[in-house]
Amino acid sequence: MNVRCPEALFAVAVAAACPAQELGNAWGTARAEAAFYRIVDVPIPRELALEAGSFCTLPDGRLAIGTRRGEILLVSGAFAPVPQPTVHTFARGLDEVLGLGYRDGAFYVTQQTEVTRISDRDGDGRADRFENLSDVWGFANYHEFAWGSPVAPDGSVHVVLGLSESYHYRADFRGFAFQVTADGRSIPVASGIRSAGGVAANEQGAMFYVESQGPWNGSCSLKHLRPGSFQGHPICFPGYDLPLAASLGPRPLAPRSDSRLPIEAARVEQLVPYAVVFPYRKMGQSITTFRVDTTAGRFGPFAGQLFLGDYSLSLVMRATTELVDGVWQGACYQFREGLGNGILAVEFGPGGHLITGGTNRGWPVRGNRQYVLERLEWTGRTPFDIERLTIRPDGFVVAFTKPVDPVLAAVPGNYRLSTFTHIYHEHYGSPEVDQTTPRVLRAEPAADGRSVRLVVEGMVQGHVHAFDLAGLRAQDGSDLLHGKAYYTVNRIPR
Amino acid sequence: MRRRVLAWSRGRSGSSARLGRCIAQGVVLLAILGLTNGCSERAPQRPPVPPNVPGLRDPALSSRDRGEVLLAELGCLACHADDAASERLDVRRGPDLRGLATRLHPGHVQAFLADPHAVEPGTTMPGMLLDLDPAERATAAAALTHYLRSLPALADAAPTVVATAGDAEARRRGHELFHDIGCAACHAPRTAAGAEQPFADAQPLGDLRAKYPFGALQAFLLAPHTVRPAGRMPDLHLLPAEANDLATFLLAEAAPVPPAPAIEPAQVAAGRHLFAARGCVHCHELADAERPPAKVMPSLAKLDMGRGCLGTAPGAWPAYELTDAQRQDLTTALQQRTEPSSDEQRLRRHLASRHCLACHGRGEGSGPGRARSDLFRGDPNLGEEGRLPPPLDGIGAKLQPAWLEDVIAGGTSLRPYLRTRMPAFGDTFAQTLAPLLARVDVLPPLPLTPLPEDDQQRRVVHDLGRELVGDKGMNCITCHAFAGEHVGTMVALDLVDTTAQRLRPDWFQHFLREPFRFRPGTLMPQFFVGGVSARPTLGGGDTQRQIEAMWHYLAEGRNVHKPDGMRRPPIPLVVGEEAVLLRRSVQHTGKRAIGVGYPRGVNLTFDAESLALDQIWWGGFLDAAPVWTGQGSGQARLLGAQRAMLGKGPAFAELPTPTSAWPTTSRRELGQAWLGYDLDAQQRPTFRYRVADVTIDDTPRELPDVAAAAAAGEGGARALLRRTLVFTSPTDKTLHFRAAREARIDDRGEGLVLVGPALQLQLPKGRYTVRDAGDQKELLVAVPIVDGRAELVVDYRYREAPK
Repeated sequence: MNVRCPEALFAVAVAAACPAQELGNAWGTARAEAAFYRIVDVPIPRELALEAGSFCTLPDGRLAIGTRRGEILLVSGAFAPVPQPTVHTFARGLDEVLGLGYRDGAFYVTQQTEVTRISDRDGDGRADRFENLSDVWGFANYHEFAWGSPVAPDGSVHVVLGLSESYHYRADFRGFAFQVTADGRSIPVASGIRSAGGVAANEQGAMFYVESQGPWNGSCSLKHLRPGSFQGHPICFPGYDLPLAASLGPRPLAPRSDSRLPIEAARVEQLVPYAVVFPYRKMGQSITTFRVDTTAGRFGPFAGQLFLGDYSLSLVMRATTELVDGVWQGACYQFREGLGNGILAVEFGPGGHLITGGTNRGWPVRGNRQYVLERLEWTGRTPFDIERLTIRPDGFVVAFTKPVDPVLAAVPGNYRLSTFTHIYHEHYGSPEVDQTTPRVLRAEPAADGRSVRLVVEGMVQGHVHAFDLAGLRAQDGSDLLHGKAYYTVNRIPR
Repeated sequence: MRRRVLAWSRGRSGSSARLGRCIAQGVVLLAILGLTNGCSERAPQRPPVPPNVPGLRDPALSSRDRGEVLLAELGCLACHADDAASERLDVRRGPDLRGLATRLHPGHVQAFLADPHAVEPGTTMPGMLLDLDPAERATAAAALTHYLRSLPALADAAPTVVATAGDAEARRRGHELFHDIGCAACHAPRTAAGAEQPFADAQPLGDLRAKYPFGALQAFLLAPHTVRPAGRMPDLHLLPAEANDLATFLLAEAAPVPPAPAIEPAQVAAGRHLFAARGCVHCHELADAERPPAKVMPSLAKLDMGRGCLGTAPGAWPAYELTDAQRQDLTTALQQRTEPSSDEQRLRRHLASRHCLACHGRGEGSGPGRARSDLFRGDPNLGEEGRLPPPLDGIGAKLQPAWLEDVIAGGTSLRPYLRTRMPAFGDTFAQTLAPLLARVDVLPPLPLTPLPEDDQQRRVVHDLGRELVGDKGMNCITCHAFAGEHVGTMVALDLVDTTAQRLRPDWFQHFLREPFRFRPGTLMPQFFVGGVSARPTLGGGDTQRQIEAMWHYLAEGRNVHKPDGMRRPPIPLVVGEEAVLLRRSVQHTGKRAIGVGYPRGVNLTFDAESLALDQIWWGGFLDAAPVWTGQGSGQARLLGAQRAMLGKGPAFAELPTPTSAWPTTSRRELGQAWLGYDLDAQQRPTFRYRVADVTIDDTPRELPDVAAAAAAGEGGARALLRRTLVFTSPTDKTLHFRAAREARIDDRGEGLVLVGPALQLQLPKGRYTVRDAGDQKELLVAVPIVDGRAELVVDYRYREAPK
């Protein structure tokens, strides 16, 4: 979770006031979005005080919810056309369940202090066995979050561990990521994590996690958990001296502050460039977690893409990733705002819905509805939107969800393109710096109108490329639902 | 053979060519229509049913205003061009007819087209075929119905959510919703069985069962603006489940509808021509390339009042069946049509067009009448304001322009206590009404001193605002929610969520000075009587300073430092028939505590870090508020007062010799492992951990303490904790169990050991020793493992020493 000055706020007897945080309207698109994606309440009895922290779906079609209050709730009927669900408490008494998976009759649960396999041996519908799979990390403060992935086909779970209070290394392995195997081994995967959010595989099976703006992170981002990698925040380096970290090798070279990420990545071999950067406030303020759209079109025209929830702004964004020259990179897009609470968890259901849930306590959040579970459902109407951006050696391809007006689409001036990057430093966040304005030399719409090839002069490796396509319209006359997208260029393909 | 049926003609040249074209295709048409020369009995044999425009009952409307509203609401402006259109209201066009085949029962469509007023009394749709004799009328209505059913669906229409009606319970919920959310503010209230109750000026709905298939009504309720872009039926932002319930209620026990006849191409062709010739196309815009163009009607300026639509005689024009009063109002409006209107007049007309005053008052005598007022429900704790939608008096001076527009367009609402919903009227209307309100409603400006730049001075303003809002100041928080939380039973508007983003600062200042002036019935006290603050000791008693400080403080938003008096209510974990677990940081034990509350009122924490029973207490279990509110930064608080601590650090070790010092390293360094726990049917755990190669199953259970029960009243707890430890190991060895570490440990013999002031342990005789460890004592129990197994039972009792 990524909010400036959060620790002080809710601690006891703090006299100081933090600077006010204006949440306001993020994009102002909620009303337009509603025609295409509807937000539907999945009514949960209020007395359950539901604060969803993680989701998974079960083979029998039920939705399992891991909660911030430490329950595993099993919900029947959450995906019915008209949801009138019933809720069964499978387990309780856990510690902030921010990771949940299910495999072979057992839940794989990431709670703050361990990864636990939870099963129901006597079949009475309630958990009765809680097996610790990993508790190799330490803790010094309540503000040390552990996020877990869904369970992989091999039975393993990835866990990412936030720093102490999001800033310090005060306990073992804070700022590290582990792969925890089904037989209870903990394999270190990466270091350099700051204040992690969710962790999961992208469409191609590569593991990513969500990082928050702060020291060494100019903005929120989606990062590739390359085995053996360093994710950018060096305060956790003492962890390399622990015996369990031996497989990671020696400490990386310390990155230099007040630098730029590509420069330091060229020096520090373990440092992985941030795959998709989400410009602060424009694209979320505290991204928490993501899932791949596996609904094969039942959720609309974005199958295979990543959908990310944001805590502070109560909204959902999209991202696409591609592997270029061995490095992951990609783009992020606006999707849907106006959700009821701060999103901690998202999951696609078997009916093609995106379930969203979270809380609104502890950090400022725009959605002020307590204890709600919502789902986003496609109304069946296709918005005119940017489907995805992909990079080419000499530019980009912009794909659309519907045919674009070919006349407007052929005008290079309708593609407003600018770039920037962040300062890579030990201070909190970063302004956007080093701005450039590449030139779109040519815009060549495809015959079917579903994509446009842009030939661009002046792409900058290492920069976020910001697209503003508000001047385009669809062939059927509709405006772009969201005209903005941001592509992080780590590599320009040859 | 000449028929004037197909196109309305007033004998003016220009329409004859089109008429001729129609007649040229007359072979088909005549065959369909089977027309005769009959001229008699054309008008329906029933009393006239005038159109119902409910917004017109606002007493502040003049005859001309009412006429202007009628010009828009009856669609006059859809046919008749207007040279002063910008002065007029937006014309109410008819529904989008595409996809009608899936939306409406054809029998209803045909009957409605033949005689709209008879089928839906009060409809603003005029009779378009009433100049025909009954047989012709029926034939024409049938052809039109075939044509409309042939239209393709809306390209981007949303699919139906669910196709089946709900059960009796859904019907009951639908009945409640209909009266709660505001449907009954415009439409007549209904009995539980769904029958409309007579109600003056209600907008009747006709026989919905004959009109709508279930899924179609549900889809319409979910997104009324899709089909009716004119937006007079506002969007109540129903959830699919609610739309299901409402449709279930409204269509209760729908009679079976005969299957729709097949669409006949010849009828479609005839209907298409009628649609243009009869002028339907003026109100119902349709993209149909094959449809002939519609006839151009005279402009408003050229209308001959007293004839045609405005006359009383039936004829070749839309039959509205106007009342004399309506006719008079329309005449007035037309006569004065070029005279300018004030913003106030235009505003009033806009409010009438959307019937805003069905729910809101604005000015004396407006708003829901007494009979309707009783339908509005809410929170009785908040008085009339807790039940009635807010009045619109001065609303344009109260709300920030963007907020006001959002409220009108999207139905934003921040009054959770009102059952009535503010519906969405759409962007177009909002963009007209919001600026109009802002122009009409003006307050004397009260400039607000901006927040100082200097941090120190800002802090002073913040502190003053915080003090005033808190329980030592104006105590605003006793009645108002604050950043999503509330203290008392009154939960008025959230101060943080509804101030700076929403209110104009001028209004805030005026309102705080004189609340009654703005909300005559408000429960809000006046804190600044005659401009003098009721809290003279704060901020020098300066009224302006105080009000500004409150504004700036509330404007800090949701992460503002909460005022004094916002107590965090406890969340006691209540133990019933089964044990309750909490893994979360617990007082004294720390982050990896597993708290267990047992029935019979005994509780413990097991520390999964040190693998030791850490504390036992009797009485209430835990207050989870410190770990379940805010960021969860605290520790769960022990509720029971009879507490015993057993000492920090690992509880098991292999000692080189029985007298070796207890290890000071962590259990991790000792190679001990936490395995997890199992629960029995009462949710009581068996903790499992490993020390060296010994697996320990540690099962604490609550038991009635018979002796203590007998001695109740002498400080005895009524339950004891019996802990059964089972050791299994591939090799035989002796483990040591440090059962307690305390300043005071007394061995009373026979296995009875007193630990601290009130804890009694019962141990196996001869297996334990008490020894000194620095300034503390240790109670050590030897556990010899023989044949790979050992068992140890320890009882824990609470006995306060007699005073």
